Amino acid sequence: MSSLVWEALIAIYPFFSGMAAGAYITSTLPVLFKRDELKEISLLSLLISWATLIVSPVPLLLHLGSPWRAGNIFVFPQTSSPMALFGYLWITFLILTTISIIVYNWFYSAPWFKSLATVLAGIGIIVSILFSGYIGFIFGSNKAVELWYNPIIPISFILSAILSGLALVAVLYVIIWRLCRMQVNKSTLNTMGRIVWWILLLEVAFVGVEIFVRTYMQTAEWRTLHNILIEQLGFSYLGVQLILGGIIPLILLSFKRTTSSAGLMSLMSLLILIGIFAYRWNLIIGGQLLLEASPYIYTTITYTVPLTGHGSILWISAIFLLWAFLISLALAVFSNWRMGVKIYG
Amino acid sequence: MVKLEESSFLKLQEELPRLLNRRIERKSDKPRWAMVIDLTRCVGCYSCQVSCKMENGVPYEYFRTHVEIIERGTYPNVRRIFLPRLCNHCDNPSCVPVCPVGATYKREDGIVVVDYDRCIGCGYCVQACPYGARYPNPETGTVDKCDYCLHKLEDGEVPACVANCMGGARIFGDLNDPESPVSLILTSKSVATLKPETGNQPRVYYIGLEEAVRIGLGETLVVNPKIGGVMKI
Repeated sequence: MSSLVWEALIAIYPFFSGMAAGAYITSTLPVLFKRDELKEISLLSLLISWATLIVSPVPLLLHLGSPWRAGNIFVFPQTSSPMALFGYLWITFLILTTISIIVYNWFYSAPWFKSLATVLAGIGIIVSILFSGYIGFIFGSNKAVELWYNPIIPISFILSAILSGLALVAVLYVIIWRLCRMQVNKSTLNTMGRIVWWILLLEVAFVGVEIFVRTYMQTAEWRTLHNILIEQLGFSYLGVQLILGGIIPLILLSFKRTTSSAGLMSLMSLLILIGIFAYRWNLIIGGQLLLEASPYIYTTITYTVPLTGHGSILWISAIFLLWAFLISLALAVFSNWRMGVKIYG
Repeated sequence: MVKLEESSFLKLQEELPRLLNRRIERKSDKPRWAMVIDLTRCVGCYSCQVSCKMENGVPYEYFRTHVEIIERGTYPNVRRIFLPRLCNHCDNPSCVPVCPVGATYKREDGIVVVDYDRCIGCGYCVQACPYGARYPNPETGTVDKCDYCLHKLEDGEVPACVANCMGGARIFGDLNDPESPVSLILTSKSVATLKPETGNQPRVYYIGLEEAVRIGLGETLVVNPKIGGVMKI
């Protein structure tokens, strides 16, 4: 076979679904965890989650060999397959997000607003965790691919999903508020920075423990995998995922000066987002670069994203443009996000 | 000069497929098909690979079965081993439970098949198979794999790779028939399966596998020398 079975389109799917789940979780923080400083961005987080959620299955559909049969996943779901969960989780998540947006946008003054928001957030946080965790399970439970076969991956996917959602909301919060000439609230940024730092610490710890244990065990597979990660994916693995998207934000976010500054906070969040994208890429593409040429021998292959055609940079750019359009559309239709803390306070 | 009677000629014509090991006799009501590959008889002629591609219309660059070349040792003490590979039709296949739409399943007769009308072509089963036996077929948009030439089997014929194996290295038969060639081999010879540690319980057995890949001190294995690779054991 000349190309990968799961190429760039599959690598961007968990990136989008993670951000959708994470943005929803961000919106639940004021209601479920009494983080009142984040009330200002509740509706914004929901709108970002909704737009990202709609885009998330697009790369999957484009990847399928027979996309016209995609409905089979609803008609003939096989319960033993984690992938079969996708359709039901996605639909449930989309309904929840839509209802939450309607409630936050138009019924914020109703007497039942707080109770309904709490119920929606309670169900939503479970669905979000399942939605990001099941993708990790697809990879973590696959014994045929050495880099994926790892029980830590589902947990790591959930953590990085929350992280990417928070980071995305932080970046867009600063950009949108600046564009609308609105005052960015420092306590909102500080709280987000603190939560991001703790989750980033956990995520870095998980990845660090995995690398340490695997390096210590020195299995033949890991020696080969290590060569792939260092030689073929050296820049995106060491440079982007670990240093740029992990260590640097972890160090800088520990200073209050960083989390108080809109510019620095959005820069750190952007670095985290790029680091998480690199994580998905290195895991999904990197895992497939180690090919079993025989039951006894490994070989390695190379992969370059084509400029045009199936799974190309052009297709991926179109998906990102669609995403930007949907976020703008959501912000235009449900415009009460501008009122922020004034209505939910 | 011996002159064949016309009736003898007709009889020979009728018997030819069986003599050439092309016909298969079904003795049990519920057969359980399996294959034994005798590595001591494989000459690396690729006729199994070619005949499979022709029989099943397998697209360019893809294979339902292929022959791996493993080079053992260093010059002048070198040996080549030919290792035919195909779907192992495992008893505990990891490709079956992962299919989100139940398009791949194991039949009662032991053959793991793909329902091409239901498969969405997501490639999850390709990733889950530890034997690399599946491929996404670009012509049909579905996943494809060896099905022991099911269409031939239903007509009472052995799979194309078995029928065309000039060294008689591929032996096919019913595990539930104690007199079938595979049952006789499994009860009389030492066989091994690929990657038993996966727990998939493969049902393609190899004669001479351990001997073929056993490596001595300082020896190396290289697979398909043009591709290259890293020794795993």
